Amino acid sequence: MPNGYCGKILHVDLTEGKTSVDEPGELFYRTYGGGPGIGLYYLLHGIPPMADPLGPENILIFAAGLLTGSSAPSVPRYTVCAKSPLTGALGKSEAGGWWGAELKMAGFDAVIFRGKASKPVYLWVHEGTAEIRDAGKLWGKDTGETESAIRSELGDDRVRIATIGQAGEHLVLFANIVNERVHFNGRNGLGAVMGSKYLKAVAVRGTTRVNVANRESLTELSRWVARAAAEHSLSKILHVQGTPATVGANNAIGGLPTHHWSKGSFESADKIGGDALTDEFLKSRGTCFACPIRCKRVIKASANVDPSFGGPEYETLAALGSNCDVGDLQTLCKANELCNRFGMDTISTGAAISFGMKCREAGIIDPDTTDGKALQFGDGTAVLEWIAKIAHRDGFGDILAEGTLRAAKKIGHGADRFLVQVKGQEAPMHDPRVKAGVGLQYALSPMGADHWFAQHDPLFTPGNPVGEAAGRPMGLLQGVPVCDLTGDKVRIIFYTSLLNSLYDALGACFFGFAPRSVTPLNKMVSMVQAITGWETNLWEMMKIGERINNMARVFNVRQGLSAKDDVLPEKYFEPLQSGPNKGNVTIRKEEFEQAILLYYEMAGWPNGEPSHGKLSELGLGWLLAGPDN
Amino acid sequence: MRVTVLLQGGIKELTGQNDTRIELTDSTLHTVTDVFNVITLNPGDVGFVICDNKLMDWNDPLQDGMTLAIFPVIGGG
Repeated sequence: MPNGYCGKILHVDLTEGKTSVDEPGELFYRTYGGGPGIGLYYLLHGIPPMADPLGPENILIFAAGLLTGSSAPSVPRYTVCAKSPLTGALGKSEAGGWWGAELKMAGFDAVIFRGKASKPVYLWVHEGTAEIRDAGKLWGKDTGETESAIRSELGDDRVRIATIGQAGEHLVLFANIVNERVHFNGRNGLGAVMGSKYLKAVAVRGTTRVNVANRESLTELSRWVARAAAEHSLSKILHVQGTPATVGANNAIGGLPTHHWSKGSFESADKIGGDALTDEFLKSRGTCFACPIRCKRVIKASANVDPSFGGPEYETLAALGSNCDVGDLQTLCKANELCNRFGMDTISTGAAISFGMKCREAGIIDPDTTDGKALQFGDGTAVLEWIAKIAHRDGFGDILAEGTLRAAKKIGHGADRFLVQVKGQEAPMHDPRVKAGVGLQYALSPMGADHWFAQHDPLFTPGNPVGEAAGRPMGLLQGVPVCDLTGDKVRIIFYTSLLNSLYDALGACFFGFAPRSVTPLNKMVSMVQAITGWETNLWEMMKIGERINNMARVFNVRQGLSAKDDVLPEKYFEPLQSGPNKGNVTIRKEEFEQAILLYYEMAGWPNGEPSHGKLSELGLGWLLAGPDN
Repeated sequence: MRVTVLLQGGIKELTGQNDTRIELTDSTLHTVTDVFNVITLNPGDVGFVICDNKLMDWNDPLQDGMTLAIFPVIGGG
């Protein structure tokens, strides 16, 4: 049996109701890693150009990271990918928790779904076998109810379940996939792809330990990480306050999206930030498989909030909180619970609601359009109601469920001037005007606006020893100011975009590894060596990341996207409305466009498309022949 | 020299301090870096410091009665 990976990929034909297994061999894994590397390989071999994302020709892939399940620290993640119904581009989203590790322990690196079932089903994967089971009784249930029902049916409370809620069933274009109620393949509407295939859930259970080439070495590395995490400043903040710590910092700097991006500071920020959440709601800190950071928020039970759906992350607090002018933490904990129950991405859900509020404020839509329901900024009760209406496509919720780009077209009357999205995906809650490299990420990410295509600017500022140490192995020897967009910044974004894709391929969480956290790149390479037994190095690893980014780019070109789609919303070229840089334009459009072109040059993407030379250099010559279907 | 320090976003945990609000009265305080030293905070762990809605450099001089809000490095959430 191989080390680190299982060497087996499960194929499920939902139309025919059949399963099969292929065994790609070591060369495949060493070339593509795991996660999105596996996913893109099969997407590029199977999805025809211009395929309908919600049609049976779309392919849905769950792929664990190369190291996932090995007990190495902070590598719990798995990728889900398909063509996104929200963007029409690559859909790719990672989740933590235990599901990915359990899939590996059940004997598979990935599960690939093709076709469409004739009725609701779920897949039961256990101990090297797979069975398609009836999910008729599960259809209509929320994610928590589904989890409980499947565990009860299978008679095992340790079954790990990735499921959709009602939003995925109703093809809400930003429906997500939920595992363990608190972990999410959140973005790109992959839950709607599951719903379109009548696939309610994927349940996994395995007890076979993942082989590790050098367990003694891995144990030593794990001990080092556990010790170092307790002393590492960024890891410590993640542990103490989790991502909600970001609320206060972004607010102070004028970068907390407020009133649908009209402002950068929220008067009630201190009521919804990390200090308030920790003081008023935190019960304990949750974690993922074998991770010492423990960044997840476990909240106390309260009058109307079910704590089993976890506490809100930063993105949730900003998207459903400050950006909707809602400053009540209890309401935001409830909003978080509802999104997680129904299975909806909290970023796009919040963005859709704040977009609706902005349209209502501007008089573009009237009370009749919203069925007489309130849709005003600051109304927390309305936010809760609209979450449910979107999930069930009820009334105006049906329009918001299409995502803001499509909703603006349906609403008309100039509603598109309030859009803050890229490639159809709503922007995350990080304002590029206070960290310009994030703007490059939003524009360049193959998934549309995404805040983890590369690392964030504050980690690589001049004189920041944490960033300097993290960047040195990649040759990033000097920091750059946060709003800089010169070649030095583009280089940071280029290198870390390769690094982040590598992390996804390994199953590594950004909150466990440099520069965002404790484990440095040399130890990451040592982990790969210890687990797989490969004599490898950082160069070979980074090439896996680069390969993934090029495959993603080719996928999008085949689906009709081009350089013209790598743009930033006009909002970000306007002056900041608050904070120390109030009144200043921090991103100039011409400079930004030059930075995009420079990234293309660094990547070997003339006109935004991977060159023959670049694909050949990466061993991706098979992509030069064009689609094979 | 009297300076008020607000430790924001969990950065208190990186110091030896028990409170998020600290009143410092010390004649040896001259720059922002001096404040870091007094509260035993590694400058490399600091994202930014704000006083009166202005970003402070580490070597900026202090003035009597200032309130400094200190935030950790935040790199994506």
